[in-house]
Amino acid sequence: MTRRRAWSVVPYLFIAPAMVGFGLFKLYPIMEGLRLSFYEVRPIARTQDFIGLANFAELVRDPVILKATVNTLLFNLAVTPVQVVLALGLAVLVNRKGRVLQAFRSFFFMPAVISLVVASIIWKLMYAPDSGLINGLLIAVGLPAQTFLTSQSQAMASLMGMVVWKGVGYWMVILLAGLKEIPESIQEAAIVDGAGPGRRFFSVTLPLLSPTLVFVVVADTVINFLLFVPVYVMTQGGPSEATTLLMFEVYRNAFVYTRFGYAAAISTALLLVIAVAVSIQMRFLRVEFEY
Amino acid sequence: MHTPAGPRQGAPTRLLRRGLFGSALGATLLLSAVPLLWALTSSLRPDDEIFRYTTRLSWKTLLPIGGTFRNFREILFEDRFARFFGNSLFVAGTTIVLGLLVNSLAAFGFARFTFRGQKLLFGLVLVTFMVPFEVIVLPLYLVVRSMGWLDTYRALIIPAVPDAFSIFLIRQFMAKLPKDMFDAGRVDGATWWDLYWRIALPNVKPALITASLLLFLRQWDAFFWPLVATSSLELTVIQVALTKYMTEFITYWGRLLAGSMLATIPIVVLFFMLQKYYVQSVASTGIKG
Amino acid sequence: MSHRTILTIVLSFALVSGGILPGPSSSPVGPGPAQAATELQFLSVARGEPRRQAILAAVADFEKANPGVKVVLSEIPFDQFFQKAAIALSSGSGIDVFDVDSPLVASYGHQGALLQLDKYYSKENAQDFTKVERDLATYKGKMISAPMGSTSVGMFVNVDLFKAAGLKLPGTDPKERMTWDQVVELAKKVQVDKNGNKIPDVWGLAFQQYDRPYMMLPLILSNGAGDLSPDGTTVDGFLNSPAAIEAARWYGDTFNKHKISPREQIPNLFYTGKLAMYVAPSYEANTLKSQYPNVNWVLVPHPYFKKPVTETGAWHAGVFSGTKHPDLAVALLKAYTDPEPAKRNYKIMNYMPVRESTFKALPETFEVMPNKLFYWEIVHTAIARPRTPAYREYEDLLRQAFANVRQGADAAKEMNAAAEKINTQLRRYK
Repeated sequence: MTRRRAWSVVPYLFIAPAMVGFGLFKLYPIMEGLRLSFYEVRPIARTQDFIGLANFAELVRDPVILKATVNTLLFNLAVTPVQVVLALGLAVLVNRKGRVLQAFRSFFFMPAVISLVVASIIWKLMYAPDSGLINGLLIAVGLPAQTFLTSQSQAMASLMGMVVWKGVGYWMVILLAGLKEIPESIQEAAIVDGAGPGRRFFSVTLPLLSPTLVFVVVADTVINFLLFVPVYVMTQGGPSEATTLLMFEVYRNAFVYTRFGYAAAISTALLLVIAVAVSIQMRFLRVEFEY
Repeated sequence: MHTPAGPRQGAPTRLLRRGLFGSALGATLLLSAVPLLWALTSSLRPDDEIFRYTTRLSWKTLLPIGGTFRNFREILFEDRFARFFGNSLFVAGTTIVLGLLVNSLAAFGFARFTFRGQKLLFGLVLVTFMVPFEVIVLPLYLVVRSMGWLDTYRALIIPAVPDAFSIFLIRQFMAKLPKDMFDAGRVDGATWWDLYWRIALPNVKPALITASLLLFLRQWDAFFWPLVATSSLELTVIQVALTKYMTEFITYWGRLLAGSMLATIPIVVLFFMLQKYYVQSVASTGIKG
Repeated sequence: MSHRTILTIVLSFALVSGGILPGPSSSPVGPGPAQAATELQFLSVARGEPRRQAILAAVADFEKANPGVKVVLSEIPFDQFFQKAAIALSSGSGIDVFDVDSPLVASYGHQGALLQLDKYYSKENAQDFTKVERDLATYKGKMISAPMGSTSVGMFVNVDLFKAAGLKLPGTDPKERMTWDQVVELAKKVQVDKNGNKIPDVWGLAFQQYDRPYMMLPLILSNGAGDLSPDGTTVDGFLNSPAAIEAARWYGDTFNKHKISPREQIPNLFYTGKLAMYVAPSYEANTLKSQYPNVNWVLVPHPYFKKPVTETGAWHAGVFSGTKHPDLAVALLKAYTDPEPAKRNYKIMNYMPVRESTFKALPETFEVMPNKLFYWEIVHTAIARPRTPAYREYEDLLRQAFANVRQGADAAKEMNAAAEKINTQLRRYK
């Protein structure tokens, strides 16, 4: 009896330091922040008036939020899979010894190293239709100049391109850590069995990599849902709301319009979307990969 | 499907494959390198030269011919760059030490036990990274203020220590360690602490190293929170310091880019130091068939 | 190799970085004798060297006059200044005196964040501020901020590019003010595309702030439209009036029809001699003189449609209404904005003066170009941005509309949509 009770306290002791920290620095502020979604908040005047569900009622009727929701889903459905697949491909390709490959690894990681603000500024300059490096390159090889961030048809794709570029190396590094954990003996056994590289990848590497892959998929999804710096720096959500994302609307309402209550309501909606997306992913990936 | 090919047939196929492999890598490399190469080149130019070669493309676009180290010199010698750089190093370094300990403990708790409320608590951990920082910044500011930590290193470090990403990542690695490994330890009379310290931790080295890289990167890139939580010049971190080259009237592009290039050095160094610990050491996974 | 290796690496890393620093808890505002002294928090926008020296001098003057009081100065980048101020104000801490973006005085005033100043100012001192700045500092009949620095706008013309194109330089006297249509014609002539790739090597025209109300409202107002109803409740019939739409359409045409202006801002375009006409604030004159002396330029009056209109305004400073030390905070505010420091501010910071006494004290400066012209505009054509508590929203929404027009959207549709959205925001302040 005593033994069992002692046993049952142990896990709580292990998680206690982190949980206390979370409670103080994350969960309490989150509860406070989300509570505001039921209030009309004037932060500078320091007033909070309870308004029930009025913020949410406004939210579902707000055409900008509707556009931002569609954009956010589109953005994530495109960016996250592309990032994960590219990161996985690169990780497998460079997961070998050799000086050249070490240099390659570092190069691929470089975009992750530069700050997001500076990276966004660099890309905005490169995308500029009348002076940017990319149009310079296109014209030099005889192709027509493009509009990139300045047209509704290309802005979202241009934004996605920059975000993919920034993230792939980061996720590649994490996947490399997962690959390292796959025992070499299993790979060698598969070679002895006559499995080609393709089969080895799908029947050995992928299943054994699944815990890391689950992490990468989930973490990448969450990060992409919460991304707004590139939008802030490069497009401010435009042109004509073509690149606005829910997270950018959170920012805009909180710190441009100082409507903390409405921003909190958008965050609550965003949190729900993320939670649904992540639970779908976890369920799906577990069935797919876990042996 | 894959039958060992004779040498006569194999050589061209292998050559073709090598070629494809090489050009795929090369193309990706170019894509990832050009923006940074441009930034590096620009950081070596005076401000009025930076935007001269972008549309009328020439070899000057990406090569800093007649470059100058003036931007770097001004940053390194005329400003308190070392102090700001040091602040960020200290904050990020300390966060790694505390963060690895606290988060790996929690990861062990979640990975190797079954306990009441486990799902709920893990769910709460995950929720902490799903809420935008912009929404929690004001309540967090009030918490930190009530502790008397405003404008101290503590305000920059402690709130960043408990980290859902690290817990999740390390948990994923610890959960798949074989059960026998721990059972054997239990039989030998090892305490839970021993199991954590002697068995779990050494076997998830790549996860720990990756987590430290992520923690470092996060703190090194931190901008908004340091700006809000500190006010004195002595506590300015690198990313905040860099924004001073974007002044109200004029942006000093050369210095901004030079500073950004300098700011990447610690992460690159850390990456070089760490990657040998978890990149496959034997060439056995690849397409050598 | 064991986990110890990792810990050793990490620990040594932390120690190395720790070694550079005086240690984790030796924060400069830690407990100690400093705690006993009174402390004032001063939030200013980051102005960079050498311009920040004017603020440091004000702080030094104040500390000398008030021994035992210490000023903690935080210099915040312009882009994040509002966020930092909002968080400090809403938590009621970390702020006593702060810079106030002059169009935001009404917004702070509406939310009760600014201390009323009337009782601290002699009539003579208050009347010394120029009329337009005095109006900006007043909300509901009370003075709530002290003007610190201002701006004017003109058009900088590159002399060499005009010569190269064989064009006569526009006149610098207000009587010779060009219309915007004349500017378009000149821009087309001066523009150069050497290699015929459809991307000009020399551009005709650019606005320094190419979608902010600061530079867009003069277009609208100059064409005979208004920016806000006198009672401040609606922009209907103002921003979406035919005259406003016409002005917005002209603006869009400069990018998409005449192609005399780049659709994305190209940094340093005028500084590097690749732009012929540059509509820019007064402080650019100093940037050009000090940083880019090779550019051969002349300042001409801000162009117009029907009547001349220029923008003005930049920074005021105010005292947080919740400060624990109102008298000291006002003393610091005055050390920063009174007639004597105002002259120093002008010399070091290069804003246009906000006090008559500053203009009068420096005749040698304001009787010669380019300042002569800026001063003339401030006196005769300057208007301030609309004084509404919803200015942040107004600015963001109007800015989006102009950005969309620049990128090819229909002016009527955008201005109507912006008017509707701005009205929604204005209603929230009733």
